Amino acid sequence: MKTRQNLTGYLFISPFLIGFFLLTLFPMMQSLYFSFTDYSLLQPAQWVGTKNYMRMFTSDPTFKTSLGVTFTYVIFAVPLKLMFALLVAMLLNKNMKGMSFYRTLIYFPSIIGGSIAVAVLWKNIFGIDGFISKFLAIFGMEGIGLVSNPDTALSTLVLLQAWQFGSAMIIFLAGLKQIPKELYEASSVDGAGMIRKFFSVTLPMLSPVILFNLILGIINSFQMFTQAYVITKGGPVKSTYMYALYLYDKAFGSFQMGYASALAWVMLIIIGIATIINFTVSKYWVFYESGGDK
Amino acid sequence: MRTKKWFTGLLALTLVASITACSGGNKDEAASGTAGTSGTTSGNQDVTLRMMWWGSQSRHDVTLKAIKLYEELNPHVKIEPEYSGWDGYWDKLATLSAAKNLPDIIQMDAAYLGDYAKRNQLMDLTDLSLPKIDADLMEAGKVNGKQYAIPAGRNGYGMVYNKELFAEYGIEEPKEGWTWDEFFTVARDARTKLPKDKFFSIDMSKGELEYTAYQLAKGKGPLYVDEKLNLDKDTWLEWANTWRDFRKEGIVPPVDQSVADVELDAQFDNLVKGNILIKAMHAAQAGAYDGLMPGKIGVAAFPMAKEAGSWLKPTFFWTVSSVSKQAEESKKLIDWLLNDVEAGKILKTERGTPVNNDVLNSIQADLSVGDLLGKEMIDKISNNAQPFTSLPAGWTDFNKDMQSTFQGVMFNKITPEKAYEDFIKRADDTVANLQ
Repeated sequence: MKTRQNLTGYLFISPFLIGFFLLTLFPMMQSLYFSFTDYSLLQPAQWVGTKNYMRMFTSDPTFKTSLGVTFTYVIFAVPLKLMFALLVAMLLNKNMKGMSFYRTLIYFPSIIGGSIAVAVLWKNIFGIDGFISKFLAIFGMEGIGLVSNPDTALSTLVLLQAWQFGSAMIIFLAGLKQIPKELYEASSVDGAGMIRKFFSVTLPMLSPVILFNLILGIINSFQMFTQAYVITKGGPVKSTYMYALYLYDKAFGSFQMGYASALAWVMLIIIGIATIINFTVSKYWVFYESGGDK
Repeated sequence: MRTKKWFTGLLALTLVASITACSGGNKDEAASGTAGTSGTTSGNQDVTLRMMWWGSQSRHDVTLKAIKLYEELNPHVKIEPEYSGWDGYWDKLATLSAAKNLPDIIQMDAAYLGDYAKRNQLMDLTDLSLPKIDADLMEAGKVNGKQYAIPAGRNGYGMVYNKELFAEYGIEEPKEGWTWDEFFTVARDARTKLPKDKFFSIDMSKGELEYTAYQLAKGKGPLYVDEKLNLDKDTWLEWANTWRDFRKEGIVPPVDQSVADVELDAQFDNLVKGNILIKAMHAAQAGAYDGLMPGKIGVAAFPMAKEAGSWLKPTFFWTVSSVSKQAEESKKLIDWLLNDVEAGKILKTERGTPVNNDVLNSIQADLSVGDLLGKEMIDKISNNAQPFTSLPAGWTDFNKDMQSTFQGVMFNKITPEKAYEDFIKRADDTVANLQ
């Protein structure tokens, strides 16, 4: 009886299981194998042991460059985006006539922010002859192309990421709605002002949601590809040469699938470590109302 | 209980994997749209050929017209064209080849020919007899002695300039056999004659072709010899420092502007916008420049020093993929495109000056001013041309890194001396990984 029940259960989730084994686990294991080989897609893979990993850590300067760029990007883009998302969420949490209209209005552009079309638009706005460049020229700063200068290209991409606050904002908004009104009323009675309420009520009550957004944001940002590919192609002077872009170039530019697989696994491990660190540190700042963990 | 734990672990792994996978999921979309349609029949039975090229709209138009004519002449052949601009073409081709779904006939560039040939993705076309095509030109389509690629047109590397601006500001136009010393002197003098927002030349230190032309002129040979880097240190330092001085003195546009320059782009091409007077260019593009600025374009060979700086080369090539099941029909089509007078009349110089002189002579009368410009540049170069050397296989990554380092020098992120060390180090790494 028990096994029969279990079987029925597995049968119900079988669409997921089949998809998982065929489309996720199998390719993952395959790429793990390829990461120890020389593989150009056309000739059969040749086992080379840890050569790919050795090369990465000893003689490949581009690996370090792209890793550095990606870390810089994550460190700046993720907090900026979260702060921005939280700010907007709090503004949209006010009780006001036509609020749902404003929410749509603000949410809408940011969900398409990750698309190719917006990246192309961004390229034209921030390019050498774009709107921003022309605007700066009014103030005597001529010939500035924010995405064609290695000093400013990465910050421009960070800005674009912050502008895609939409989904994080929605999650924050839902979190804000969950915070009991009584807590604010009680703190008002105790004489807390706006700022005090934010730090003593809103932030602690929202901390699980912040953690969730933080982890998701970090995972996504480590894999940043579209904007770097479309807007800057990794340039100028590799200042925006994201890790995912390097991986793509190795895989589909020079057909070094083995090396690219190794790069992918290193990235997975890095993301894994970042996530573990996040969870570990979260004990000290995330507050669960149910008191389960604390 | 144990299974439960195992299952939880699996679920956690899936979660991580599916989150990590979601941003990378769309990459192979390009491959799916064009699933294999090549027929499996041969002889005079119905045949479908897939043909892929890059180019501008005008190239697409005439090629489609030629294809139509070929289909009328050969009713059993149906051609499925796939075309795009240069941007994205190589990504798409790479994806198609990864899916083992390459088209039968592929327009191929010298920069990628070595790599594709060495990965056995191209068919050896040695048995395709094309007596009308110049042997030197055919030589450029060989990899390891095998004829993998057939030149699609004649091209040369020289300069295009804005005649009108030269005249307007009283600057001496390039003449036959001019030297680099003259070029640099004219560039300095031009600063005093031109308004603040106009510059004599683009910052040529951004490109490896421009540098190659300089090193060749100095008599130090091409950039790659015997599949190895042949970068002459003194020539490189001289070159880099000259352009650094030019940037300081405002003889060339600000770095941002030079780096953002996009060939033949109405918004980003400095020559089209009238910001600069001269830039390096392939002969095949001269006509397109004339289209954007009619009547203003002049052409010249590269300056010389000890030797000539310019070279002649095929514009690019026609190749047949090694997985093609229609080798004979594919070869027939390539032969027709290059040698048939009627085809030549339609295609004109869209892929460079025709490789077959009979075709060239038969269309001479209907050539436009733009077409003639390309021919004029080739004629000027051919008086004193360097042999063409293509990028050896396996050096594509190195080449990209080199371009990036060039930009680093331009932005003062790295000194020319350090850049030289960087080139040598990367070249060694490339050789070590060639096996």
